[in-house]
Amino acid sequence: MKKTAALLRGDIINIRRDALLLVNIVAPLLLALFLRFVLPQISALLLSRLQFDLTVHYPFILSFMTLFTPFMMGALAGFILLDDRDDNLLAYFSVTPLTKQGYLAYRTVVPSVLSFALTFAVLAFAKLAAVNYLSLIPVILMASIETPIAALFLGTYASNKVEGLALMKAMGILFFAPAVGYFVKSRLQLLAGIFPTYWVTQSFLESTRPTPAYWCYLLAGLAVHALYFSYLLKKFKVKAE
Amino acid sequence: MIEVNGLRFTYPGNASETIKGIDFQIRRGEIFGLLGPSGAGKSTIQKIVIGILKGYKGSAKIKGTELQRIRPDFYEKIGVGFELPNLYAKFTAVENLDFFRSLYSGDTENPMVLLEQVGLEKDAKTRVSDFSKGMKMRLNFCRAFVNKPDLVFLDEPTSGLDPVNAKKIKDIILKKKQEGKTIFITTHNMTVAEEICDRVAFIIDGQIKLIDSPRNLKISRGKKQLQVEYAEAGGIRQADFELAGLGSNPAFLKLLKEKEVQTMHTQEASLEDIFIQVTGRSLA
Repeated sequence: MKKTAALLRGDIINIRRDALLLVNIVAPLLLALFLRFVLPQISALLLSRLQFDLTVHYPFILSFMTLFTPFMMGALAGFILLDDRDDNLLAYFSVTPLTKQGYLAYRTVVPSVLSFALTFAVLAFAKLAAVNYLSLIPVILMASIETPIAALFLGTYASNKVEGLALMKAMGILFFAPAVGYFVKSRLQLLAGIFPTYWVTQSFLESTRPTPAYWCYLLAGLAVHALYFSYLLKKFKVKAE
Repeated sequence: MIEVNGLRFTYPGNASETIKGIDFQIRRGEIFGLLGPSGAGKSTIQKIVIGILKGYKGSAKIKGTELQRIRPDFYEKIGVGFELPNLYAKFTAVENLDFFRSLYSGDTENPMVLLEQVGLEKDAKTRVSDFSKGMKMRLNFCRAFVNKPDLVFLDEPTSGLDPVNAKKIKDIILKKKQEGKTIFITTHNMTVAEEICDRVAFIIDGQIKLIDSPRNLKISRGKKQLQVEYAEAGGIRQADFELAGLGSNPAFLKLLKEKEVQTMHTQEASLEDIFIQVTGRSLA
């Protein structure tokens, strides 16, 4: 517990002194403000000028936004991981009572927990559409696993922060998968399921009244997330040696 | 304190052994130096004895515990200073020390006391990213003592330091030894080893070639002679005398009486000479 508090304090110092990290924290808060105050205005405008009703798509927009916070938290944790790797700190942690395993547990679990809480907060604050919070719990839990997935991905495949930033942008491709799930009506949309994000939005959209489809998306999604997570954790450990 | 017997290690994927069966013991309160050129297996041995490289054959124990079986609390009383400083660049010196001390559950050292010892007290509130290499090295060095360890591993503790700061570091190491701490140094700097180590081991090709105190090595491997330089006929001349019976050697006594002596040196070997002699390699 004392060690977790120490690491958390350390992260706060790091975030306060690095604009790049600060952006990742502020972004979900800006998103919440956008959803609550700006989006309804845009909706009203579209309806009056173009007779286009955006509100029917609100559940999809919300499901899409559910991915955003875990992704930003993942980038944040990934950048800190890169910094710590560059500063050679992982080697040092392995000769303290924290150990390298302890450090990795902290670096994957704590950002996930934060993602989970923040995603709920953003949803609750946005008040866009009626949501079933109970059946969203496992969906957001699944989305929160994307935080360590993104962090470990950056930590494994970027050799520095500049590359990390480029990779983070490339990871934007993950956000296409939900759109495929929403707009492509054929079975082929399942191909988008190689991306973990697909399963989050699909189960989110089914969550208002838990159907068998909801459970299928959820279970398949959890399996896909677990696969990505364990694969990247293994890769990162090799890289960090 | 440290007991290593028949230690062997092969890196996964390598055909040959990196460590080929070594034995050594380090007593409590001793400064022990592991010397050798790069690639000799020094770092591998160090990684095994600090417990981060497992999968060795033979036995390596610290305070009676086999290193394959250590638990996280083993590190409560171990200090490590790696060769490359590993510090939080965005933290100040004192924030770094405070952070690392909060990873221990036992009694820890006041960071300001540590910083003062290495002459960094004025830079306590400077971020490490603004530190010079030597300052980072000194901070890295004092971090190894933040948990009041009784066994400390130091890798090249004086590298990158000017003579004044190198002296400070050596003095601290000697002071820690007086406090009863055991210190394990890995270096290829023979002068440092000669000055502070109680015993040194020469490692080459994964084997220990020699292990003894620097003094014993220098005397037993040197020529038992005295070399005298003196001025004569406008030039410098040189004469060698056997140490045995020196006080009654007429030629020596005559030279002392009649010539202007400029230098006088016993011909014990330097650690570097011995190293080259024993290993057939130089350290660079």
